[in-house]
Amino acid sequence: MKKLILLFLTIAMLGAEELISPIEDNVAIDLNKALLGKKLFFEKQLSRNNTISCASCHHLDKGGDDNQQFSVGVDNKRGIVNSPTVFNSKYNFVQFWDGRAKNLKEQVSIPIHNPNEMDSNMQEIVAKLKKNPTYITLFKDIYNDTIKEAYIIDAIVEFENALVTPNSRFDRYLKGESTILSHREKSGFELFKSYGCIACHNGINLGGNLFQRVGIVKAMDYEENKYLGLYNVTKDEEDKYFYKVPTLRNIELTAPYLHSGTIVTLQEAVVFMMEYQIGVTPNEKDINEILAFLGTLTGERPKILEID
Amino acid sequence: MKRSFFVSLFFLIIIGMLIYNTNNANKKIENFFNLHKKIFNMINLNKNFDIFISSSKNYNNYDIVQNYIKSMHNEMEFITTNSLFQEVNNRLLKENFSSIQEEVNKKILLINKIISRSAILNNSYRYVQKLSQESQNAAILEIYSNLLELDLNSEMSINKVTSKIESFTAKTSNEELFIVHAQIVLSYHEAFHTIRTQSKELVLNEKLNEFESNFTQYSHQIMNDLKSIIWFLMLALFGALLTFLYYMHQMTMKQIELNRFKKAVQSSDNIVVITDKNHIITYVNKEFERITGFKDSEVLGKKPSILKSDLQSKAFYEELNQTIHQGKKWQGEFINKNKYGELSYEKASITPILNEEGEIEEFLAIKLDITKEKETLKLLQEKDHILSQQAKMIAMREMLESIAHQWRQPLSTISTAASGMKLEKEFNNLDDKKFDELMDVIVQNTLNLSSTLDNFKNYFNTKNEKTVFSLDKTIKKVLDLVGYRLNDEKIEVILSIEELPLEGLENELMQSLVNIINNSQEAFRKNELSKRYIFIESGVKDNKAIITIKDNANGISEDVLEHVFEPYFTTKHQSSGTGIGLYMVYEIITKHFNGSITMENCEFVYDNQTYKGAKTIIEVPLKR
Repeated sequence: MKKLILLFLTIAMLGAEELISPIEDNVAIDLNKALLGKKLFFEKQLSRNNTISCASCHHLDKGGDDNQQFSVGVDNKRGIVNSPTVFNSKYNFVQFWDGRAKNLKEQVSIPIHNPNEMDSNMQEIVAKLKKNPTYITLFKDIYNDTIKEAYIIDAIVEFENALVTPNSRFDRYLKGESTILSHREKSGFELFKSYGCIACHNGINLGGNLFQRVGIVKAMDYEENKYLGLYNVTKDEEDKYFYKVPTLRNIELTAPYLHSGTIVTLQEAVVFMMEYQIGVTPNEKDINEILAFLGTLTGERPKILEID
Repeated sequence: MKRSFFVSLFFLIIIGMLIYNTNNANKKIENFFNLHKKIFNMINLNKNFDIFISSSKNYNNYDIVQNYIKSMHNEMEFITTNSLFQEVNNRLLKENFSSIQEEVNKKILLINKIISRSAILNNSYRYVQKLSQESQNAAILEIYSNLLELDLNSEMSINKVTSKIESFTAKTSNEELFIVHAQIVLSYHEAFHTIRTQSKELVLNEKLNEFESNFTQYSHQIMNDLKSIIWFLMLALFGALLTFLYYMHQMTMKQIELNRFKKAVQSSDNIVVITDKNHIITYVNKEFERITGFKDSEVLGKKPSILKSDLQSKAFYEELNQTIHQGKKWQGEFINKNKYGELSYEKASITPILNEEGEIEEFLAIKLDITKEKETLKLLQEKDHILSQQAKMIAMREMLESIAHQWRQPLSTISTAASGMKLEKEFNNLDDKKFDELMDVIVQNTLNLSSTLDNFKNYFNTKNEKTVFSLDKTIKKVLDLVGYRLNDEKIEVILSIEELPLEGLENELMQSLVNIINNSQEAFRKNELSKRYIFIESGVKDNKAIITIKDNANGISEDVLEHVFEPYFTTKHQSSGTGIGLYMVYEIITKHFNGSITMENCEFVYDNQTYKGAKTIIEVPLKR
């Protein structure tokens, strides 16, 4: 039996010709919960001084991040790490650059409590929301109960689950529309594979399924890099400078790049990755083709954003 | 009633428990099944982990491994949050599972490390392979083949390859890139290998298997417990059912019996009244309605005192209440009044009915209407009174006749003497001697008259006082009374009397004997007999005086003999008797003297001659 499973698994892996899978067309969500979560996502009362909402750092009309190196929290405090996009975050194997949340449910309350971000706490938020009759009715309707921490988290998670950007041109290509990509974009994908980018950027999210060290071939300027990544969680010396590999979906829209937010353009980011991770210096043609391919990864805006 | 309620309740509880337990058992079994499935999933996922760990030379879609990890997390969360698992009261299982969780988390950390390293290694291998194929340099090819051998590993080869790489001088950019990736392969290979070894040292599989077998054992034990509970409940249910049926049967039997009694009470000729402990009527039967004229609806909720006639004293009712409230049965007679104000006599018994604690619950009165009997008794008493008056009149007549008879001769003597004296005086022939003689005669005869009266005074005694008297004297007095008649009719009385002491009203006994003698005399009148005898004998037997009176007047016909002691029965002519005689005799002997009297025909021999006659035997107790 074991042998059979082993055999089957090997074949299945080899058979997975394309190591990238498209985003599912229909994500099953509870619309009412997701809409409540959406309302909460924009709710500034989630922060201590009612100035910051989730949407303050995750602009949903753009790429799901705020296009700043570090986001601004309460009292204009700055964080120490670049905001990742909230889009397609449900496909990430862990949340945050250092993976300190196993899933979205664990993730929600962390920025709320972070003194550099919202600097609040759940009891306070529940108390604030309970003063609002609209929320009381909404929670009553959906959870048939008074407002509680668990329901707030549940609703926000449901909303985040709905934040997927399907039907990018590349996804449509994967789903069989072979002519939708231009020749240049297709050869960009081939280069993406042959240079070995795909070694880390694979799976449904082109990333988001492993930790990787930045600076394999060439070390980063670690003197300036105070953010230690996975080490923060494991305290294992080996894990220093290991970060969750970010998704490449909507990568055009989510500048600046890297956890440090130090790289402003996508072209620079590609060059940086080639140099530091693979140890090659590609020619301009290859870079442009790869950039063309990366441009095909921009998907449709999440449907939930069109619904009120 | 109470008992059957409890039996039913018990029955219902058992059914409820059975349903609950079956349901519970079902849920538990399902839960166990689910848990077991999850454990098997974990075992399988761990196998997938192991497969991934031992094979990672290809480009991989790490989503697959991450999905395994996610599933593993889900299964663990399912188990830890599962209510049944939380209830599991087995330290070993809990310890097993928490050590599994630790092990899984360690393994996941290692797998993520492996993923990171294998991504780099895979890529570098690919570069090394590609570049070596493009290069013509033998040293590069050698390094490449050495790198491939690394997998078969030995310390030696690592050092060898390391020194080869270090001694190689790159001339082209491709050769430089080759060396970079060769170095990456070398450096990561060792780390990768270490991590792999670490992960292989984990004993997650063994722990999972152990957990699985412990869990199976535990669940079997729980299943067996559940099974025994259900079996027990089934048995209990069966028992309860049997008990239930038994009580149903008993109740039915009781109902039948009750119905029978109810019918008996309802249709009884007795009045039945049931009241509660406060004397409020709760039931009356048909006879009650018939006798009192009240419908049950008119009396239910009221007290039986509505029937009171006020003819009975307060003390009477107090005694009644006292008796029944002591829990005793009361018996007596009521004089009650019906709906129309008519009096009725009721012979009643009232029984208090006690509950199990001995407290009075209700009263049951059973009454018999004896108004008619009372009236009959009254009539009888009146009749007896009349009869006895008649008997006294007859006795008086008897006495007067006797006096008249006995006075006839002295009176005529006195008259003769007196008229003799007058005559002598007219003829002046009355000398002193003659006067004295005649006066003596008159005085003597007057004294006779007086003594005769004295004799009769006893006979007709109205005083009803018992005295002790002697039988022989009594019989003598009787003969004094009736002797002249017997003489007249030439009836010879043959006496054989002892002196026996008796107690009672002497004149009643005398009247009785006179009566019997009169009857014999009457019988002699019907028969022309040359010899007429009346034998009066006495004897003693068993402390009783036995008086036998027999005659030779040929006896009495059998059909008459049967009825001789009945009132108003007579064979005599209307003028000569009223028939009260022998009935009164019977009453006197049996009731006043506590004796007995019989009459029969007999045959006997006297003076060598055989006679037939009637014999009356009276037995009365002797006075001691």
